[in-house]
Amino acid sequence: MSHLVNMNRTSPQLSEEELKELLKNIVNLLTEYLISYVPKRRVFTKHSVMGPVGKLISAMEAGRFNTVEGYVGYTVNIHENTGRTPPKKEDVEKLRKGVEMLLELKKKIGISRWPKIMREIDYAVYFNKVRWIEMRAEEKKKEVEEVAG
Amino acid sequence: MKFINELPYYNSLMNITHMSKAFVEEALKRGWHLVEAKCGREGAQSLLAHSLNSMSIAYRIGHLLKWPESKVLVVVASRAVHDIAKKRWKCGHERPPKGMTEEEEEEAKEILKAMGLSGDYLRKALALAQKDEVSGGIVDAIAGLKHEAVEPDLVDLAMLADRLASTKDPSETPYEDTKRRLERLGITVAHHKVSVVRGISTYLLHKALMFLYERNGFHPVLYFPSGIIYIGKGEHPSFTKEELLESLRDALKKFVVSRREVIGRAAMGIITQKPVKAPEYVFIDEKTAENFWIYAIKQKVIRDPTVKRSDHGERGFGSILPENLELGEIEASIKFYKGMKNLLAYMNSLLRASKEFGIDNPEKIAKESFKKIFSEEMPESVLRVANTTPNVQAKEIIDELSETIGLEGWNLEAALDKMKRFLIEMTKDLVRNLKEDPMEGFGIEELLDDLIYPITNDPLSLAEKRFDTYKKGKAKAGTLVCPICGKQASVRGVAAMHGEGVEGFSNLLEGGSRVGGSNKLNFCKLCDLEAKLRALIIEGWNKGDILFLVPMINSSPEMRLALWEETQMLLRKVTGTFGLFNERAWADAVLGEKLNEGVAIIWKSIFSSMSPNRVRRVIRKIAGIIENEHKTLERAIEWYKIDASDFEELAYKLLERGEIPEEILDELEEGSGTYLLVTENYTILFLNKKIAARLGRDEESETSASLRKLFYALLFSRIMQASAIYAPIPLSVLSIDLKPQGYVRIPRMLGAREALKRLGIWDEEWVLIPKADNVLKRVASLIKVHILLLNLFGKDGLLSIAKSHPGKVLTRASSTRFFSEKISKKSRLDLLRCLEMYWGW
Repeated sequence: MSHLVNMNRTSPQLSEEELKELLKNIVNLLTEYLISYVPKRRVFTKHSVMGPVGKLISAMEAGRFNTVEGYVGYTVNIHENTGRTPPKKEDVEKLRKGVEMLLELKKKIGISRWPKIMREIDYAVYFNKVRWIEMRAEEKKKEVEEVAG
Repeated sequence: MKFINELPYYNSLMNITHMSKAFVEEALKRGWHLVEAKCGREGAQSLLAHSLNSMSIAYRIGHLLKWPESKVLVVVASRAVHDIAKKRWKCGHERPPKGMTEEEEEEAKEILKAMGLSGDYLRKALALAQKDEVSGGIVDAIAGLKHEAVEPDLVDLAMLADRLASTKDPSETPYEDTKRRLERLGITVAHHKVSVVRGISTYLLHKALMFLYERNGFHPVLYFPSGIIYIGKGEHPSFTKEELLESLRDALKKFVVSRREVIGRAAMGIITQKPVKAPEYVFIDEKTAENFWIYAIKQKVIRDPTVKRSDHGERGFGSILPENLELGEIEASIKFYKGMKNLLAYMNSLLRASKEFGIDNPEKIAKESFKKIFSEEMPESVLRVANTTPNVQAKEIIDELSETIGLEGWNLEAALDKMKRFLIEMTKDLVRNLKEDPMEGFGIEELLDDLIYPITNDPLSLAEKRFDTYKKGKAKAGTLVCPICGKQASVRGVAAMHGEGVEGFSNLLEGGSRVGGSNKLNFCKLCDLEAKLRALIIEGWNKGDILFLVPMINSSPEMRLALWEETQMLLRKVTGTFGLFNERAWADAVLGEKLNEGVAIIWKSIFSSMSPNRVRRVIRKIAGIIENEHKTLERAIEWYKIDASDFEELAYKLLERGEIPEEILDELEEGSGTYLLVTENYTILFLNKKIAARLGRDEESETSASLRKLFYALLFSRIMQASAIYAPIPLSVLSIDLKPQGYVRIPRMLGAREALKRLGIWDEEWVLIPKADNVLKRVASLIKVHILLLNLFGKDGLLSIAKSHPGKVLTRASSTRFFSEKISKKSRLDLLRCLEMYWGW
């Protein structure tokens, strides 16, 4: 008997473990890039903390550009306009690597899973940045206390 | 062969308890509580628990054989390290390794040294530790060859102890090699087993049987929730049904009499349901009869009834009072009539209940007692008052009674004082006229049906009875069955006794008629007995959670108590002072890694986690108790040997050091709403309310609370080396097929799936031994986050935080003023750390 529709099950291109590892690397790269970003107006809101990476994630989620350069250029532009200092070359390199990995990931992952993954990256980068800010503040406080004491 | 006691360094203090304590210290330091020695569906044991069990059994058998202590202690010491190779074992994936590697041998030596062994004896214990029940692989055989030979009787004892410690069920058939060893040593193994584990009633049955076995020279060596394994010499003992019943009756009486002070509370029911819910307690003896009325008359419903708007309405007492009364007089008279009516309703309910114990004419006894006290005839109508009697009629009866006993005005207190004398006398007279032992009212004979072995009923007559029932066919109406254990039900459920839900829908109710009235759940006599016994333990047990703790160290309750006595004392102290259920304090202790550092450190951690206001409240309470007890500060200072300028300072110093004396703890514990019943076979934690967060009047959802329950179960099981299981409903029985496979049976709720998956325990039924500390720390972190963000996430926040990405939680928190204004910088760092730890990054 012949079937009208033949469905072939294809195995996922990434195992859960591989996906976890890849996400970890992407989050680390984006966090490292974001640490170099200091906003002109210091506010502790999510928009302010996430700066250009927040914008990058929104653009990626919507599939605004097709190339790595498109996304990197867009992000760097926002960085220059809203940050105190423009990004350094090595930081841009980290951003480029992160974007490359993200586009690679997009190809391998189903479209229905993409928004969820982007949200996860968004939250993870935000969490890492906030932790960095808090730790830095603590270290500075200790330094001041040491100098004073 | 030389033994330890012949050596100059041998210290007489080096007995089993000291050896065990030294071993536990070493084992905890090395994380043996997180290593599986036994695993799988048949039951799990940590390496620490298994080694201790083997040690204890070896000691018991050695003692029974009357071997010199030094000889026994060599075997005992060998059991401490006999399974050290299991540290590298992947349970369920490979055959357990037996031979020790060089590093393991070195470690074993260190442990044995810490236990006080050296020289020849250390070598002998080490050699014995490497012997196996059955020959293993070639590698194990070669590993064994390098050790000296050991006397066969030592090997027999050591192997037997290991085999027994590995037993998963009291009725397990012994292996062939075990049988041979038993024969060689001249020992008989016996056991008893029950089919249902109910709680206190089953504990009494265990106790009764244990007494009989011990009387016959058989001593318990292994305790299970469903039974006990004994060792002795000679034939397996046998008892008659009468002997068993007598022993059971003794155990029950001892238990009930030990709780005599609370008999009144346990017997008294709710006036609108069943005024005397457990009349058996009232009629135990004259003292309990007196205690019942002392308690009853103190109750608000009698001593100080509330005057409601309805009391002034058409059917209330207010509408039938004489006119021209002032407001205060109206209130006093309503209180008087209500209190007296309730008192008489309780009295008549007790008189009715006494008929169950063979008193044919209790009314006659009541009248005689009345005459004895008041020298007047009792008005006949007094015996008709019940809760449902119309108030008009009740008022007339009370007025007549007042006239008879000479009461003036509406002085309820004076009336109660007069009536108390009569009621106590009447109940004592009832006790004197009892024709049946009130203990029979509990139906303890049925408890013997729970026994699987030894059986007390003649199997042939039992089979005949069953065949007769089969021949007759089903009864038309069907048989009512107990919803708890499935036995034939004969007692109609009462919410005050059996818990909420007796009027809820169930398939076991009569179909086609309204739920309520007489159509309620019915319970069997044994579940009813269990409920009555629990009422003696703690008020409101049927409204709260119940946690069964099955000890992993099940070989010797004395040893367990010796090792965990301080832990139990700590739990008592926390219960009495700050409350046992104190998430912040316990989470701090877990996250600060204090659990393995001894009770003094844990107490310090808990004390420092408390808010100053809470500490102040507890100090005031303790200071009040001390002042009551010692009257003057000088006397108190002399007694406690602590210098202080006032009672509060003295209380603070005691609290800070954690040196709260027993007498103060007893008083503090009274209103705590928590009770820990410690038996040889299991420990039960009774609570009078559910484990849940509360925000105002709102209680946390069950799903969210299941994570909180997981935290406490892990905490208690970890610090007491036990397996923890929550009872699904308060009166639930514990399945006898229960084979603990880890530290905690996971309270499973579909809504908590994401959180349990995140913790890595969704696919498992139990929190496995190696995962325990990790899961405990992660749940503790989660709880800490919820405490910090309670105001933001609300009462069900624990679940929503558990399901959300830490970044999401942080986004929500940081977008509010609460975060920047109310949470300090230090707490913010704590929050981030905890979120990270919970998520498992």
